Formats: sequence, structure tokens, C-alpha cells
Amino acid sequence: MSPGPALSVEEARALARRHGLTSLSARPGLGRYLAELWRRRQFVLTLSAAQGAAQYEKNRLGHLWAVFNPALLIVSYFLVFGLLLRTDRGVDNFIAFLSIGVVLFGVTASVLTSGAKAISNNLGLVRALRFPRAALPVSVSLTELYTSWPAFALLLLLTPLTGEALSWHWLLFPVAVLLQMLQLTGLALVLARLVNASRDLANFIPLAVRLMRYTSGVFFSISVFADRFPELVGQVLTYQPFALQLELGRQALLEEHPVTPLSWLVSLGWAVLLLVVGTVVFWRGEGTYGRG
Amino acid sequence: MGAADPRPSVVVSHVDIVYRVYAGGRSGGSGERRGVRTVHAVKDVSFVAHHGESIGVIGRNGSGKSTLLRTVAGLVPPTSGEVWADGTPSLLGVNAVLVKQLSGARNIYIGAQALGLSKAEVDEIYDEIVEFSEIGDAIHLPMSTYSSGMAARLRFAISTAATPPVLVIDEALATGDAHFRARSQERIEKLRGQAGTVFLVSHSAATIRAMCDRALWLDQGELVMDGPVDEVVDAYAAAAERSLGAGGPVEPEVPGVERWKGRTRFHTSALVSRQGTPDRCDTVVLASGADLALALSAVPAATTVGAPVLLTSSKRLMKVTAAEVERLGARRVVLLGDAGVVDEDVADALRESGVAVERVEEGDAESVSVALLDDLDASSGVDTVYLVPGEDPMAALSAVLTARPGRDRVLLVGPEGVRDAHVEALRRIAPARVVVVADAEDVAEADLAPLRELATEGVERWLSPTPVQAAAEAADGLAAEAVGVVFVASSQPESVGDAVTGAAVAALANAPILLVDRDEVPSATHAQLERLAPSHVVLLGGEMAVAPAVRQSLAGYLRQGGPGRGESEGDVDL
Repeated sequence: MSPGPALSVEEARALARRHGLTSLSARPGLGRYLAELWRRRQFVLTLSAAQGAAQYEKNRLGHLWAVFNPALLIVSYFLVFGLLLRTDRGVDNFIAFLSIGVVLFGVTASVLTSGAKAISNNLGLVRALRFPRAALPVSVSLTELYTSWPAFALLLLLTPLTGEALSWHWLLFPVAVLLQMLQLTGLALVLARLVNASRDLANFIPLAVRLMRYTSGVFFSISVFADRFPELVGQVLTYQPFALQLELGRQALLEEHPVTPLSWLVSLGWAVLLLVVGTVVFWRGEGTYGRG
Repeated sequence: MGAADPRPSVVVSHVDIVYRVYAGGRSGGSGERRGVRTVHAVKDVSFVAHHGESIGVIGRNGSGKSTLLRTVAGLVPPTSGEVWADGTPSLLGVNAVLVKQLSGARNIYIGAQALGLSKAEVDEIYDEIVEFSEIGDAIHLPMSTYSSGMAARLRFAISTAATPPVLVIDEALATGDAHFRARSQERIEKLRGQAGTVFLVSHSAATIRAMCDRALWLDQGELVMDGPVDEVVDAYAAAAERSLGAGGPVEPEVPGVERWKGRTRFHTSALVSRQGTPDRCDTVVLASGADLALALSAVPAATTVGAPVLLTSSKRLMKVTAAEVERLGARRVVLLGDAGVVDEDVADALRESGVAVERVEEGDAESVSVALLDDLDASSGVDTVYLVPGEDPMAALSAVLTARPGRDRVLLVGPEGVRDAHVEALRRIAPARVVVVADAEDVAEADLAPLRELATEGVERWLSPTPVQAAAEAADGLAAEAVGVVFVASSQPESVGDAVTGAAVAALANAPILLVDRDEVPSATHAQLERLAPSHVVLLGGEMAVAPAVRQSLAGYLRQGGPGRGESEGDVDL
């Protein structure tokens, strides 16, 4: 028996439509894609929590490392930049300043690094199950949030110990973290697609992260150094998203950094822009993930 | 065969799939030639599947079967053409592992929720999934510790728990034992009963015949035939035979599961020795392929001097055998039996090649097996001696597989029972224990009386052991971590010859040897394979002894890659 004459494209399409079948070949519209993603929100949460928990399970001290790691990092940064290189010029409360920088940039570095590998690290899932692939980069951000709260708690405990007074603008700290996470999710979406298209690009991620670590004011005050540069350069250094992420955290927790609405507005702008661009860029690549 | 519901569940229309592979020129030369090659894997395929149908997809390796089904499962969109399906299809691929570093329990939640179930729904079916997968407490261990058979069972349980409208199975049923296969078959039937559609890719025509009512035959990406399963499979089999000519079908390679086989038992024996005995051996034991009980009984004694046991034709020294004796660099060949058992021509041919030939020619096989102990100087430090009827190769196999290398021996007893020679030998050996692998009819109770005085821990009977069970129990004593390679031989009486040299090689390598039926992995063997999760399996004997499908399923027990391959997580470097 030969396969027989196949239905024409139109006949096949009509048959499928008559019986309410959904197309697997066409990329869904952006609206439907996002709706589908929203339907899988529990899956995204489960995956994030599981991967977060798995990170520390291997160690005997388990989740304590979520506190030890940033604490030890803060100490070593303080030894190098606070005592040896003296980058604390123009900063009164350098310990709190540095701690916020180290913890918040740690979140950024981690999301960018694993976000870029969101597809390649989860090929098992991608090759076995059909779900909107955006779930993977999004879950990278959520995983980070899940594993970082002990570090955030450390910041909130440490800061008053350095002499900062409690104030209403501490309530802005979660907002700062939220904006940061939204921006990072957008970037993770873009990076995941780029690295999926060309594995070689993954080699540049650590380099880029390192560059940002040195230029975003983790261990020095940009406003002090920016004066030496032409106006434009100073503005770029101040208002690029990574520097703003740290600045917002400091505005929320440190008296030295008064809350400036402009910073928050620009940061919100970045969040919207990066998230929209990231979503569209990633969605347009749906169907290429995990291929070949 | 359920009546197919006329409602379509999958519509595939003029689908082409082209993918790119990044070819890195690995083979020698200076500049690495890296190029992008495009593969036109599926060409203009159209079909309509209906609710309640079970469709097998057959074709040679690389015919585009798996690629097509990945598209049907919605994982890879077609390059051109269109695919529609009812709901979210679920793909059960043999290699998908979900999230390796997470526990099976977490993977159940992740997998089932990705398929669209809510957390509450997963809570409800969680126990059922665990129970069906038969993984037990290991469900809380990371999946990286699972054998691929366990992982496949868990995936099957997850993928089918949600009763997907369209289930795509890619060779997954090749893993697991007969018991699990039967249960999964049942579940697939249930799914079809609930108006689901099942697609099944398999190399095995038998599996497709048993499980499908319709088949698609793909060749080089084109749909050659689509129709009732028997017609399509018959046509495919006929075409496969034609294209392969007289050589018969070529068994597909199975990574990690080697098959050591030769044209005859002598070829197999020489090949097994060559593959399994890399080092030189001073002594080689040569036994007639016509008396397998005797050949087997020599294995434990030969092991004490590090000698492999080769089978020889009793008439002449075959080329393969001579070549293997030479390769081993043997200076001494111990020939079992007199000129009536192994012709003098064989001994002459050996002498000509420059090795010393020692015949153990004490009359019948029983006496030979006893005399061999002295000849190989293997009668001291013995723990247990097994007495096995000389006409029962299967009992000999059980005893040999149970005997611990270096500590135990196997002796044959004839129809007239225990003789003076046995008593004398046992007095000299002074074993702690004597085990008689025969009932009172073969070895009378009265015969055992003199033995009781010789064995410090007594004499016992071991009645009608099955070699499968014996092998499994012997393997049970080994720690899984200590086992890399596992040898697997046929449990069939007509294939015992393939196990002789293998048993010697396995004993020398201190590797376990397990037995399988021609078409199935028995449950005792299954349990051991599962526990040992070998990194490598060596199958002794040809396709007539152990079917290709069993070789495929053995791959399911292989230990999966190393533990986690994630790089160090944090990036705290400066």
C-alpha cells in the first residue's frame, strides 16, 4: 500500500481546523506565547525552587553557604580595596557601601552567567518536553532570587551594625531588587538566544561580567571618579543599568545616598526596555532552541 | 485492535525537515575543516493519525524516524509544511534525562508540570508515578545516579501519568525487563482506550507488530509506505533482506554493549580469549568442544594458574585456535582427555608450533577432571568442591558460575557415582565443604558417607539449580562500585559452549557473569544488572544465543556518564 495521495495543504488545514487541532509548526503569536508561559507559572516556580535547592544540597553546611559566600567575599574585597588599594575615597560608610555592591553585583553576575546557559544546561528538558522555552531563562532569575535571600538578609542585618539608621526608604530595597531582577531577566532572555545560536559566544560572558564588575562601582564610588571624565562618559558610567542597580540598593539603605527619583525612573525605563526587548528577541527564536 | 475513531488527532502536511550540523573536521590533517552541513532528514511527509490509533514508525538508522517524531511531538518545528495536533503531545525519548542533578522526586514535579499539570494534580498522581516506575527509595537520589533503565522507567511513568492525547515513544520500551515491558504495554493500551494516539519508533519489527495497528515506513526521509502494520512490516523486512543479500540482517551497534561472537563455538572461544585476555599466559587449557561439562569443570582449576580455557575441535587444531594459543605466548598446553577425546593430530599440531603439550588422559571425563587438579597444582587451599554429574553441562555451568575464583573447584562425577579417585582427591584437597549438585538418583546417599569425614564443614546437596539464578546469586556478592564490566551469556543449553571461555575470562578478570534468555532478561538477572549498573557489557555468543533486542535492552542498564558535569557554580573570581 503506497502512502496514497496526500491531502493538499488547504485540505489538511481545513481538516485540522474542523477538529480544533492546534498548530505545532507555526510559532505562536506573542500574546499566546505569553499566555502559555503564564499557564506554566507553577512549572517555572517548581523548577526554580528545585534548582535553587540543589545548589547547596551537595555541601554539608547546605544553605549556610548562601550567607558564608557573600560574607567571605565582602571580607576579601574589603582587605583588597578598602585596606590595600584604598578605593574608599569619598565614601563614609565603606563597609556597607561595599557589601551592597558585592551582594547585588553577585546576583547580576550569577544571572548573566547561568542565563546565557539556560538552554544548553537544560537540554534534557528541552529535548523531552514541549513548553514555552522562555520558562528556562525566567527560572534562572527566580532561582537566583530563591538562593539570594540569605545574602539580602545579611545586608539588612549588617547595614545597621555599620551605624546606618533605620529609615522609611529601606522599604525601597525590595523595589530595587525587583527592578534589578526584571532587567536581568530581560538580559538573560537575550543571552540565552545568542548563546543557543552560537555556543562560542558563551566564552565572552565571563569577560563581559568581569568588565562590568570593575566599571559599575562595586568597590568605588562612580560619582567620585566620574568627575575626571568628559560629561558624556560620566553619564554613561552612572546611568548604565548595572551601576544603577547598585546605586538604587545604596539609596535604599544608606543615608549618604539620598533617594533621587531620576535614578529610579531611569532604572524603571531600563527594566521595561530590557524585558520587552528580551521577550521579543527570545520569542522570535522559539523553535530553534535545543536543535541539532 | 481498537476501532479507530475517525477524528484526527495529528495532521502532518507536506513536512520537510532540514537541519544543520556543525561538522568539526576531527580526522587528522592540519587546518581543522569546520563546515556547516545541512541534512535533509524528512522529505515531504504527509499523514493523518486518528484517536485510538497506535502507529509504529520503522526504517533503517538515519531514515528520519526520530526527527519526524520530534516534530510530531512539537519539539522541533518543520522547516516547511505544517503539523497540527490535539493538545500537547508528550515525547518519550530514550535519552532524555530531564534534570540530571535533581532527584527523581523533583523531576516528577518538573516533568509533569511542564506537561501542563498543576501542582495539586501532580500531588495526586505522585505516588502512582513512583509506584509504576518501581524506583523505590532511590526516587530521592539525584537522577545522575540512576541506571538508564531506571531513568527510562521514570520518564515513562511521568509522560504517561498525565494521559497525554498524543504519546510519542522513541525506543524507550527497549529498556527495562520483560515485566516492565508488559506493564508499559498495558498502559499504552489504556491510553489508546481513552482515545489517545500512540507513536512508536523501534528497530524491532516484533515490538511494532505487537503494539501497533498501523505502521509508517520511512526511508531516507521519505514515506515509503503507510498502512496496516503487518503489510508494512512484511514489506520492510522483505526489502531489508533484499538489500542485505545473503549476509542476513546486520545487527545495529549498541554503544556500551559489545558482542563477542564467532562463526562456531571454537571461533567464539578463540575470540573471547583474544578480547578478554590481553596479557600473555604461560599455561592454556584446551578442551574438546564436544564435552562441555568437562570443559566447564576445568575453569575454576585453570583460573588458579591464570590459564584461559579454550575450546578445540576434537579432530584437528583449527587455525583460530592455533593463532590464539600463539598470541597468548603459551609455553604449555594442557589438553583434556586422551586421543579418543581430542585427536592426536591436535597435540601434534601444537607441538609443531613449539609448545609443550600435557595430556590429562586418565580415562573418562570424571577422572580427567580429578587429575587436572594435580596437573595444574590446584589442589591446595580449597574451600568448596562442587560435584557435578558429567552428563549435565547446565549443572556444571551453575557450579562454575557459583565457584569463587581461587577458592572453589568443580569435579565431575559419572553415572556410577563417587569413586575411589574422588575420595582420594578430596582427602588430598581437604576442602571445608562439598556441594553435590545432583539428587540421590545421580549420586546416591550412601556415596556421601565417606565424603562427610573429609569435609570439615560437611556435605550438602544443591538440587536442580538454574544457571540464571546461580549467576545472579554469585554476582550479588560483588559491590556495585567494584564492577565495571559485566559479562552476559545465554542461559540456553544449546549455547553453553559460548560461555566456557567467557567464564574463564570473567573469572580471571574478577568480573561477574550473568545469563539471559534468548529473547528476554530474566528477573534475577535484571535485578543484578540494575544494581550493578555496569559501565560496559560484553555479550558472549551470537544472535541465535541472545537476540539483538536483548542486546538493545542491555544498554538500558549501563551506568550513565560521570557524576554531574556542571562546572563550579559561583563566579567569585576577580
